[in-house]
Amino acid sequence: MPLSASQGAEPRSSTAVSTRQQQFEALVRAHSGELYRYAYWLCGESALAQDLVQETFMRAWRSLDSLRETVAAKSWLTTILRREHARLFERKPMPTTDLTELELSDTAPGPERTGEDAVMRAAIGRLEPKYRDPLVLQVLGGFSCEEIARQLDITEAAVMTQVFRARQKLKAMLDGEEREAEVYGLP
Amino acid sequence: MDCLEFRRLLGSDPRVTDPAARAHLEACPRCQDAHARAQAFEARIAQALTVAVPEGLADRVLLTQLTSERRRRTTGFRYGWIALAAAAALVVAIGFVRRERTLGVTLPDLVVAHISGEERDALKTHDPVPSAEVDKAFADRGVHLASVPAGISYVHKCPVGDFRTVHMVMPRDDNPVSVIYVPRYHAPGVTNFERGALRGREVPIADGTLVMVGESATGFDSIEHAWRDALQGTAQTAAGSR
Repeated sequence: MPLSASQGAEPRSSTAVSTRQQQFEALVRAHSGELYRYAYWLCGESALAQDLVQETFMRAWRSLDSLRETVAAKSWLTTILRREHARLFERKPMPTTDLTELELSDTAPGPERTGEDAVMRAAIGRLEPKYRDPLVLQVLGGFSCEEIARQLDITEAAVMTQVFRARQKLKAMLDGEEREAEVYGLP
Repeated sequence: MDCLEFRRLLGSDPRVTDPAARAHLEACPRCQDAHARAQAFEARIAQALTVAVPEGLADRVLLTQLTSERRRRTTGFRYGWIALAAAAALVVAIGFVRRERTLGVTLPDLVVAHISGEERDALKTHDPVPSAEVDKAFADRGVHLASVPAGISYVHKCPVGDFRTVHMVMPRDDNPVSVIYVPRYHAPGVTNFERGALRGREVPIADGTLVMVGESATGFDSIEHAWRDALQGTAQTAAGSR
């Protein structure tokens, strides 16, 4: 469903408004989940992540006409979310949430909260943001190193180095965790 | 591409999309093992990152947006009306300014110009006009009469300059007097004037101004009194509201 330039420029008749609303709804349905997850790994709090997603979509709605192609929507929304996150920190210094104490208890405990996932999440939470951010963008967002470089405004080579090191660090941490889990008989 | 370069690429992006890396992967069993391990590790990362999305998040986002949009439209609509009202007020203000400028020419000037151009035949008749006709002409101008003065030989709703008036002729002792009532315009006070051979008087009465013009001032007092009664009511005239 490409958004043509003419659609973006046409007068706001009731039909155009309706079409615009439909496009927006499609965007929300398609991307709110992954945006929430990205927001969650940015800030480490479910409530804050939801606020970020909300604000991101409100900003997206206001400038929806600048979105020319739906294939670019994910990148566009992610950029808005990152800016909104940065703005939030500018407005109000956030409590220094240490993602090593990641708010993993913000949703009801379930099977995915235990075992491997919990260990991996804790490890990801311990990564420095400069390693975690590109990794999350790559794995969750499915962005290429080139796209991540544009998002983060760094070089592609820097992105490749950071995601490489992120995985190395995770492996190192998990080796320790797994050995500890084996010692204490944890799942 | 050698194994070292492939492993570096694998660590950076386990999806291995580069054609040269794909070619190396197909040809190197050791790197195929490394690739399989990398894919398993990547699946673990992906699964861990995939935290549960709060139920109804998309609906809440849409609800907020729709609510905000409705509020914005309502506000815009309201401001639209405010703008319209402001525009209307401006038009009215300009109207008053234009009238004031017209009145710079003066209302008596306009009345004299009007009767000189249109009234000659009207001045010749002495037959009284039915009271109902006079009453209706005023009612059409939004003016209620307490009574209709006697001796009106002509009545017509006329535009005089920018004013919408009721134009009448009231003969008095062989001196036909042109009488024009201008609703909703208030002359600053009673003014007698002369224009060539014509005499006149401008009198604010009730919610408007009465202008009388004739070859002499004969009958002006009685006509003024009659119209005070008609426009203000007898009681007020008797109480000396003039």
